[in-house]
Amino acid sequence: MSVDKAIPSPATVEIVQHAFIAGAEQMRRNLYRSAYSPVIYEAKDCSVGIFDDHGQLLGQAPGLPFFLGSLGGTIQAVIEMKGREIFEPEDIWIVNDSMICGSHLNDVTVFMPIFIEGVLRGFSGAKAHWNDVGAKDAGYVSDSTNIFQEGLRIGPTRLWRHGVLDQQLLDLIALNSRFPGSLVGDLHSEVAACWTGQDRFASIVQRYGWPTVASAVAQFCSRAEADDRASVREIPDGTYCAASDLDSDGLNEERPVHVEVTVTIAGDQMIVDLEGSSEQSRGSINSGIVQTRSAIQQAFKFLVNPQAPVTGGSFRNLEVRVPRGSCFDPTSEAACLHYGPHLMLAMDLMVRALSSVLPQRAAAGHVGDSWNVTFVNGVGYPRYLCGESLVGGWGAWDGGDGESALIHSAAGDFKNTPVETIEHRYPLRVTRHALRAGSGGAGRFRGGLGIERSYETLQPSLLSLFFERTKNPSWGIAGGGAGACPRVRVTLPNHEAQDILRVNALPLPAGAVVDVLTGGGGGWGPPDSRATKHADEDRRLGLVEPQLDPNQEDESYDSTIR
Amino acid sequence: MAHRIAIDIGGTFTDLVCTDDRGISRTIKVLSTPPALVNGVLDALAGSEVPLQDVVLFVHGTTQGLNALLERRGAHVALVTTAGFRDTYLIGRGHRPDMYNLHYRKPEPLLRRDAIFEVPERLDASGRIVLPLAEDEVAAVGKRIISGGFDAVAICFLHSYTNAVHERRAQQLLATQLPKCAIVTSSEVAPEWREYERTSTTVMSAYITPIMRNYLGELKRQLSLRGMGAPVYVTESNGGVMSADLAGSRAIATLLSGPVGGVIGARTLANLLGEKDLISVDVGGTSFDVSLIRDGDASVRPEFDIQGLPVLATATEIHTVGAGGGSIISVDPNGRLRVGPESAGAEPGPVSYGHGGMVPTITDAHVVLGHIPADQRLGETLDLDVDAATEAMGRMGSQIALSPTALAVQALEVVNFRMAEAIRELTVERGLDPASFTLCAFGGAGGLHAAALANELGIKRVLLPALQGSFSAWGMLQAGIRHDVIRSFFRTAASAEDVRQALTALEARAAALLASEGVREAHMRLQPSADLRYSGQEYALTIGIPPSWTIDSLAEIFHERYRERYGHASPGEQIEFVALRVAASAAFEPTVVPTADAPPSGEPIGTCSAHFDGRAVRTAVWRRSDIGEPLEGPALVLEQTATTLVPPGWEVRRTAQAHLLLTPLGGRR
Repeated sequence: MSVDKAIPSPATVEIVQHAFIAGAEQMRRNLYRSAYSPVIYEAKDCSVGIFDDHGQLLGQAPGLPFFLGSLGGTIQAVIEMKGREIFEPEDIWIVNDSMICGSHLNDVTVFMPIFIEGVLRGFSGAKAHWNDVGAKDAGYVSDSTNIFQEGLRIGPTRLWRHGVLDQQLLDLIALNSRFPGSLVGDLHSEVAACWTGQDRFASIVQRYGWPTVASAVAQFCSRAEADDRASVREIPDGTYCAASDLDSDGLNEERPVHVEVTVTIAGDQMIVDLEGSSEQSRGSINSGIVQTRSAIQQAFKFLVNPQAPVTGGSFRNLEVRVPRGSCFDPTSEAACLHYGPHLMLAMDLMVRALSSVLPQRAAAGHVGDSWNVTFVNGVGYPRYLCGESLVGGWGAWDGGDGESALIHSAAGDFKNTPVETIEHRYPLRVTRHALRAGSGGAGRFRGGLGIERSYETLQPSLLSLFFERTKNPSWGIAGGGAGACPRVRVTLPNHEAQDILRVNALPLPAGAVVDVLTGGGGGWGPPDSRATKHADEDRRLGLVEPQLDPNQEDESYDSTIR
Repeated sequence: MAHRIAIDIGGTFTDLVCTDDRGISRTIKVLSTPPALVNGVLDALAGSEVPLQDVVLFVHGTTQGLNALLERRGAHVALVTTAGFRDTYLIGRGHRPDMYNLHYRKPEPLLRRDAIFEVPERLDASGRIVLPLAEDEVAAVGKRIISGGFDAVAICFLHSYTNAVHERRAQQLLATQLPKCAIVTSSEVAPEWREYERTSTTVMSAYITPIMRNYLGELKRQLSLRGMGAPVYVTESNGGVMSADLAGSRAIATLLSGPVGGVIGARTLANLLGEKDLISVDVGGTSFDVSLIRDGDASVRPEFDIQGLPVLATATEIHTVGAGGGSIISVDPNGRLRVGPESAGAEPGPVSYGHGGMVPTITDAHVVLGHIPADQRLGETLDLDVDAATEAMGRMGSQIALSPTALAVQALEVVNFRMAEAIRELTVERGLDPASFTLCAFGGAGGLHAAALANELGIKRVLLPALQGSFSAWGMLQAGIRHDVIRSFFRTAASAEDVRQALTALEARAAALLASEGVREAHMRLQPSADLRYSGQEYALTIGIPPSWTIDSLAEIFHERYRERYGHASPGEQIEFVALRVAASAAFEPTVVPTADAPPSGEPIGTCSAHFDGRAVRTAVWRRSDIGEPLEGPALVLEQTATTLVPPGWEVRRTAQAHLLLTPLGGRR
C-alpha cells in the first residue's frame, strides 16, 4: 500500500483499525444469518475479511481460526496469477482450487475488488464450506486418491462482471452439485458479505480520504508487528523440535503420515520448519501451501499475543518453511479432502516444542481431529446429508484442567448440532450423548473429557467416517498422561458388530447403531501430585471411573463398546 | 390523592419515581441495601412521604434474580433429563468463542454433574411416545433429590416442546414427593427446540425462582404491613410488567427487569411526542446501552445469554458496549491510544473525583475540556479536581506528544466512534438509516455525548428527557402488562387454516394469562407474529402478522424484511414456519403528561470556557429549568445529576414537558 504524507491522529489510527474490524464482523454476521448450510451457520466453517490492494489484511472475522491467513493468501495468489489489471469495478470472483486456496474443494472463496474513484484500493472476500461440489460420493469422501474425485475444481473465475451475474457459469457450477439449492443460497450469502465489505471500505475512505487511511493502516500494521516482535524476543533463543505420526495417510495403516516441526527462535524472529515430514499422501491428507501457512500462523497466534487483533502487520516475524512435494505443499493432483489432521498435529507439535520455554501459554495435546460422522440416505438420489464434526477433550496446562467436550483447534465458534434438530431433519435417532468418563489424560491437571454419541438409522443410509489419532492420541506434558483415543463401533440389526475408524459410503440398513467415543485431552504434571480435593471431586462426579448409571450408583453401566 | 410509584433498584442507587393525579412527578434516590434490598425500597418509600394507602399502582424493577445469577448464589437445583442425555447441559454446544485461547473454559454451569438425574422416557421429533415415562424411576429420583437437599428442580426431556405429557407427569409425581421444592418444566418455561438452550433456560429459571419468590413475598408482606393495598407489578425483560404473584412462577421472564426501564421510558416518549422512530441510549459509568424503538415499539429478541449461558425468553433488545464515563484512557508501549473497555468504576473512579483514581477516564476528558464546569454545580454533586485530571491526562499524553486537551479531544473522538458503531450495528446493519431516527439520551453521561453521536450519525433531533437521572424508574411507571407466549410450529408448506387454528389457541392462552391478572377483554391487545425462514436455513426472522393476511402476503413481508436485513432475498424460494408467537398486552391508564413546574427565569447562571471542535470558546452555563426561549450553542445545561453539551451550530429548546430537544441550526449539517 502506498503511503502518502498524510499524518493521521492517534484517534484516527484507532478508529480506522476498529472500523475495518467492525466491517469484517458485519460481513460475518450477515454470512451466518443468511447462509443455508449448517456447516456455515453452526460449524462456522468460513472466514471473511477486508484487504488492501495487495491482499494484505486490514480487518477480518474468521469463523474458523484455521482460515486466519488463507483468505488473504488466496487473494494474493490470484493477484500473482492474473495481475492487478484484470480486476474491474463490481466484479465478483470465485475460486476453490486447493492449490490456490489451500483447503478442500468444498471451501469456496468469493471475493471482489474494491475501487474508489476508479482506482483499485482493496478487496473484500468470504470463504465458506459448501455441502457438495460434486465429489464422487455424497458427503465426505473418505477414500479419495486424487483431487478429481473430490469435486469441481474452479480456478480464479469472474462470476459477476460489472455487477452482472454470468448465469450460465453459475448454472454450470450448480449442475455439478447434489444440493444445488443450498449451493446457490450459500453463494449469495458470500456475495452479500463481499458487498457489505466494499460498502464499509468505501465509507472509511470517504470519511478520512485515501492518504490518511493508507497511512493509518501503515501505522497499525507496524505496531502489530512491533508487538509480535517484542513477544517473540521474550522467548529464549534456540531450536525446539517435536514430532509425531498420524494413524495413516488416509488409505493405508501401513503408511502413517509423519509430522516434524522445528521451531527456531532467533531474537525477535520465529522460524517454523516442517522439513522431515512425510511426502505427499496417497490419500487425502494433504494441504495446499496457503492453508499450511495459515495453520502455522494460527499456532503462532496461540502462543504470541493471542488477545490482539490480527492485521496485515501480524506474522511479519514468522517464517514458515515447507518442503515442496510434502503433504504440506503437494503437487496439483493431490487429494486434499482431509486437509486438517496433519495441520492440527503440526499446530499441537509447535505448542509442544515450545512448552518448556513458554509454559504459561502452552497446553498438553488436544483432540486434534475433526472426527467426522456423515450420513446420507442410502437409496436413490441423495436427499439428505447429516454431517457432524464431534467435540472432544482439550489438553491441561500448568494451572488448570483441560476443558471437556470442546471442538478441535482448527474451529472456533463452531456449534454442535442439537439432537432435536437432527431428529427433526433426518431419519436418525440419537440415543446417547454423554461425557466419556475416564478419557481425560491423568495429571496434576487432568485432560478434558471426550464424549459418547450414539446414532440409530431409521432408514437405509450410507455412513462415512474419518477418525484419526488413535495410535498417537493427545499427549501429556511434564509427566501427565495421554488422553484416550477415539473409537467407533457399528452394530447391525442382526447384532453383527465391527470397529471402524475410516470408511466411505458404507451402506447401513434401518436399525443400525453407530456408537462413537471421542478422545480426551492430555494431562499436565505427574498424576500423583493432583490435589486430593480435585481427585475426590473427579470421582464423585464420575469423571474418571468407567461410566456409572447415574441413578444406580452401585451398578456399572454397560456401554455397548466397552 | 392517588399516587403511582415505580422503584428501580440499581447496583448503587435505588430510584423512586412517584406521579400524582396532576402528573407531577417526584424522585427519590437512596443507596441500595444489598443483600436485604427490600430495606432500600422501604427507605425510598419513607423518603417519598407518600401515604401508602393512597398508592394505586406499584411497579418494581429488580435485579434480584440477575444478581443471584451473576454472583452464583441461587438455588441448589436438581436437573431431571431423558436417560442417555445426562450431560447435555454440561457439554453445551462445544464451541470456543475465544478461539486463540489454548486455556479456554466454558461458562460456569449453575449445577454440577452430581445434580443431574436421568429418567427413562423418550419422544420422537413429532411428539410421539417412543418409550413411556418410567414412573417408578421418577419416584426413585425424587428420593435422591430429597436426600441431596435440593431446593429446586428443573425438568427437561427431549422433544418436550412438541408434547409436554412426560414433563407434566414427572412434575406431578415429584410435586407430591417434594412439596417444598420449586419445580420448573422446560415445556412451560421455553417450549422451543434445541435441547441445550432449553435446558439452560429451565435450569436458570429454577435457579432464581426460590430467590424471587422469597424476595417478592417479603416485599409484599412489608408493603401490606405498612397499609399498601395496591397491586405490585414487576417489570419483565420483554418491556412489560406482570403481577408479583405471577412473577414468582415465571421468574425467568423478569431476568432483565432492571435494564428495561429506560427502554420502556423511551418507548413511552416516542408515542407521547410522536417521535415514533427513536434510538434510546443509556450512557452510564461503565457501559453504553442502545435500544431501538420503531414505529412506537421497542424491538425485542427471542433469546439472549447471560455470561455465555443461553436463555430462550423474549427480551427487549439492548445492545451493550463497554464505553462510558469511567472508561480508562491509556497509551500502550507502541504509542497506540486506547479507550476502555476497562472502567475505573465507582471506586477508584475518575481522577477528578478525588477518590484515589490515578488513570484518566472519559469523565476526566470532559472535565479537562470544561464540559463539566467545576465551579458551577447543582445539588450534591461532588467537587471536581480539574488540576488532578489535567495532570493525569498530561502524563498519559506526553507519551505520544499530546497536550492534556489534545489527548482529551482524541479520547472523546475514539469513544464517540465506538458508541456510534454500537448504534450502527442496530441500524445500518439492518438496512435502517440512523439519520431518520431521533436520538433519546439519558443516564449520567447521556447529555455529554448526545450531540457528538448525532453529528457522527447524521441525526437531526436529540431528546434529553425530563427526570433524566431517574428516567429508568419513570419508564417502569409507563409500562403495561405484557405476556409473550410461543409455540414451535415447524411447517414447510403451512396452510392458512393450520396457522389460524394454532394462532387462535395461542391467543386464547395469552388472553387467559391477562385475564388472570384482572384485565378485561376490551383492554387486551394481542399481537401475533411468526418466525419464518427460507426452507433449510437456521436463523429465522420474526414477522408481525397483520390483522388480515394470507400465506402469500406473509411471504411478501418476509422477503421484504429479509432484503432489508441482509441486502438480498430469494423470492422464488420456499419459506418455512418455525414458531408462532403472541405478545399479549394491556396498557395501564396513561399518566397525565408531566409539565414544567415553575416558569423559567430565561437567564443563564454564568459562563465558562469549554472546548468544542478543538477550540476553547466562551460558553453560557444554564440550569435546565431556567431555559425559556430556544437558545443556540455553545451552551452547557446543568441539572441535578447530569450535564448536557450544546455545541456551536446546535440549538436547544425546552419543551412544555420539560424535555430538552437539540437540533442543528439551519437544518441539515
